[in-house]
Amino acid sequence: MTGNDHELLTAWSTGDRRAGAALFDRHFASIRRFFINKACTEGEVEELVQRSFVAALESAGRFRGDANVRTWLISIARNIQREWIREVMREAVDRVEPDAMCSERLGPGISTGLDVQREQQILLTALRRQPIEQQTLLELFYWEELTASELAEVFGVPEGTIRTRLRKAKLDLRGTIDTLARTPEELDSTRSGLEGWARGLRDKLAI
Amino acid sequence: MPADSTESHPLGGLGPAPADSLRADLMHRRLRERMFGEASLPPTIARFRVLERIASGGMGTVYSAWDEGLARSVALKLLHEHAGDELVCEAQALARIAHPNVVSVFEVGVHEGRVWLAMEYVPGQTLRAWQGTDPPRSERLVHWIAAGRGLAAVHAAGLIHRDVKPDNVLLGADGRVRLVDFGLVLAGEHAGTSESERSSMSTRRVGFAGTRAYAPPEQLAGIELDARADQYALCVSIWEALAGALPERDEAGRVRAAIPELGRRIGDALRRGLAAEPDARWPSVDALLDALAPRAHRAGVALGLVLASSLGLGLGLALADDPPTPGDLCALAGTQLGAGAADGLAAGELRTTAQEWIGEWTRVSREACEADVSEAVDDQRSACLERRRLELVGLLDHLAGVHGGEQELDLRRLELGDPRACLRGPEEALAIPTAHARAIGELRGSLAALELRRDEPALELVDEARPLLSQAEELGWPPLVAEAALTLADLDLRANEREEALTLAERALEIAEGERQTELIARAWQTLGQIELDLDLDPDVAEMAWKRERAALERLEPRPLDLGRLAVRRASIAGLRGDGHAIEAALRKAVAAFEGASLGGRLQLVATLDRLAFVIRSAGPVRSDEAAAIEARARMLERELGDERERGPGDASGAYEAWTAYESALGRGDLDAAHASLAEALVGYERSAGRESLQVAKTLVASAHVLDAMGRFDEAEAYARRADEICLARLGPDHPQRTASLSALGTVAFRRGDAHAAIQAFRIVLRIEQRQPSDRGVNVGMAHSNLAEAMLQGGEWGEARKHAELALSELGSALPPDHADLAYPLKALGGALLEAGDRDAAERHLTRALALTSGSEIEASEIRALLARAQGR
Repeated sequence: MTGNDHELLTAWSTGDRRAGAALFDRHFASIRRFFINKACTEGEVEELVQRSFVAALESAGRFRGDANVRTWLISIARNIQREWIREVMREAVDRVEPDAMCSERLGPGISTGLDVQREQQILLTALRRQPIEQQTLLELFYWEELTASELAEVFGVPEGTIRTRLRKAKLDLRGTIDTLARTPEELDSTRSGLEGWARGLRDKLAI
Repeated sequence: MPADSTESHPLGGLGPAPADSLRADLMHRRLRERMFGEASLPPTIARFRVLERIASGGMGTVYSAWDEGLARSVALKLLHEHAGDELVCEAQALARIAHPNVVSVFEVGVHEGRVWLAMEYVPGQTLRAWQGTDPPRSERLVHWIAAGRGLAAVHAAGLIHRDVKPDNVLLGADGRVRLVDFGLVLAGEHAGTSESERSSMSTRRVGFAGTRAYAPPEQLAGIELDARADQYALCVSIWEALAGALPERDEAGRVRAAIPELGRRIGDALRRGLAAEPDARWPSVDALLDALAPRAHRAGVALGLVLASSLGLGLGLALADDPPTPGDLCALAGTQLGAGAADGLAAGELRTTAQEWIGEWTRVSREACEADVSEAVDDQRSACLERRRLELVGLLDHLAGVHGGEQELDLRRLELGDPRACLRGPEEALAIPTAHARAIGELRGSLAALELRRDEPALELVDEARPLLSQAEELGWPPLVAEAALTLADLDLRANEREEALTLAERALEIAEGERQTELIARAWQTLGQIELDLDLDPDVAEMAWKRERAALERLEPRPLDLGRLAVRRASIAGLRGDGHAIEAALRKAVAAFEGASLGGRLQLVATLDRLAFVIRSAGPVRSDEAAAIEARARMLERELGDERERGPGDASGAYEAWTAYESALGRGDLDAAHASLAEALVGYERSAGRESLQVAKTLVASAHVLDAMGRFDEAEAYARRADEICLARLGPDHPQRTASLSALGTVAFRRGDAHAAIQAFRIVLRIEQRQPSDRGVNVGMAHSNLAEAMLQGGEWGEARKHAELALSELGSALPPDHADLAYPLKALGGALLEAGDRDAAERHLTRALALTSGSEIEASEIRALLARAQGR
């Protein structure tokens, strides 16, 4: 199945499942990566990826022809994630569980099952300790290598605002790494190699 | 928490990490199918269809998978590490380990640059999870000892586990413990990699790998490890399992005193394994397990394999009687021994062997009859063939008469003289006195029958053989006297009756030389040499005897069987001298000889191949492939030898389960149950590993101890005896593992008041221990101590005192001054001093012995009795 993303999306929205499958094949990795450091279990990740693509099909009619399909899909994933957070929080409030969010309570999330180096583990943990919007921003920046204008599209804010947020997010991340690293060597290694570690992590996390 | 969960993740290994693509791939396929209805087969690795992720560990991810070829579930582990030659090699080495307590690795391969291992799928839980359910301590120890056995097998394969901990031991739903997660296994020190290869490996894996809480200091320091690092981790795990907490160290780095729940013996054993300095730990995991195992079976025997078989034998023979006139070859050829003579035998190998032999004898007789040779040669041949025939007739007759009915006999030990040899050798013609021909034949048969009954208690057989010697003496035919004397000497040898064996063999030699019976001369030297080998462990005298035996055999144009045996003895002599190359060369020669031997050689071939494999394997993992190939050949031959009974892998695990049941029965003190479980284990091991395997030996030794504790000494002796014979055949006379069976023999003899036999057995134990390299001071000391006790019983006060003092000096330097085992030599010394009239000294030693002893109640009451005498009460 060939064609650009836009054509595939259009074909899918008119009932061509093969086109949908082809689009899914192209973007599955990015969307999975979006959720992998935020959900608690692999099952949750799978569920959230599915919801994202189902939502994409439902809103395919509203897709603007000049937009980037990948960025659009990531925006949908972000909405799904926010919905999911609300869901979990609601349940948690009902059950009086203040730390229900896996992202925040830092439980043994799915990413801890990966074979990653110590520095990468620190980075993963540090990312999870950031506020969820910051975490998402950093992950999309490091892992999906979205540009500032693409990030602006996903978050629905001006590009300048994204640049400011990104700077602050990186500073906060370093601060968190300081508290997590056990030895000065680890700290040095993690901080100096931040970008490298982050890219290495992407290789581990996905396809 | 994530920060902690990194504990088991290795550091280092820079460079791009491989993607965890399989997991993502599986999710991709599931979603695609669900959302777009496109069913796609799960990914496959080799012939394994990957189903779902089970777990992620430090070194790789484990998936459940379906083996398409064999239609079974497997656990497929995909390592994160890129496949290097050595990683593949290690994985292959793992796949070669076959041990009930090591997860079975079926197959190994490389997929997209990463190593995978297909392993048995084990439903169950980790020992960590199981220990969380609060099981009794005795069961915990049993499971950990089993895990330790698995670890010993890993070490024996030249590998190191590097991450022993309760999370890496699975307790299967079948109740069997298995060591898993070999991701971190590295080839052991003697892996034979060159220095440069090794250092490149070290850079690749520099730093710490393992789990901090269980790792020894050298592992935390990132120093290269050997098997003793695993021993340390095992001890931490056992300590944690029994005491409920990890061991603590004081400022000096010493492990804090054992928690009372551990008991002193276990606490001491674990503390030694936890020594910061690897040299101060136990020399091997086996040694540690020996010290941990319940006392009654401390004498552990490592595992190995062999066979021998027994057959149900139903006898009711119709044999031709009247022997022909000696000298009339053609008459001989035309008579009695038709193939029908063996028809009375139950179908099976005995009948086949007998028929084969009869066929060969008939052919040879006919050839001899038709050959155009001088009358003198004719006479010789006739006498020779007649002797062979009488042996068979007498033997079958004897079996029919004495053991009419079903009888378990080991047929392959039956070695009928090769009829064809009669055509070759200038065998000395010796007229059989016609008047006694039949009696002589019967007696020969009786003697040969005794050879078949090796599993029975040697001492009883000695009692049966003595009258045969007297009968031979009455018949007055010297060669028969020599034969009977040699049969009796061989039985004495097996009963460790050195003096009588020596006297009889010398007498036989004298007769044989006087009558110029070369065959008997060779046999006499063989027995004399064997006494030196098995009992005296004296290689020089043994070699002298060996040379004379060889000289005699050479005059006879020896049969391959004889040459093979000669070479095996040569190997034992080399073994006593510690000359590995010579052992191997001699065993290879023996293999070549047995390969050329007919009927009787096959069993020896299997045993020799196994011994050769054992020797090669002890040379280190470099040659483990070679050893494995030899073992494979032995197994194949064994199958050809064809036990009627079924064998299968199921038997091995059944035997193993029975063994575990025995251990827990012993822990409960339930001797009847322990005995029953051992009987079951014995049957299982006999089937799975062979009647003469070291597993069988181990089980026999354990049975002997249990029977001893039940007061069933005769049976105990028989079991210990059989175990010792297996050890002798498999390991050679001076192998340290032989001390287990000998100690059992000595103990049983001691218990039933046979001081003489006990002394004989413990003397050999002492000789073997003294020959071992250092680090066995405790064993040498205990050997002295046992010998001292036996001598005390035998009234040899002076000698007893000497050995008790030697024991104290050996044990004193190897054990802490308050060690419970010191009570044994102290008791012996006290007893000896008491006999010498030195009551004060006796009282002093006995008081100390009583304070230290942790042995049985019998032991304590014996000490108290002696003490009462010393105190004049």
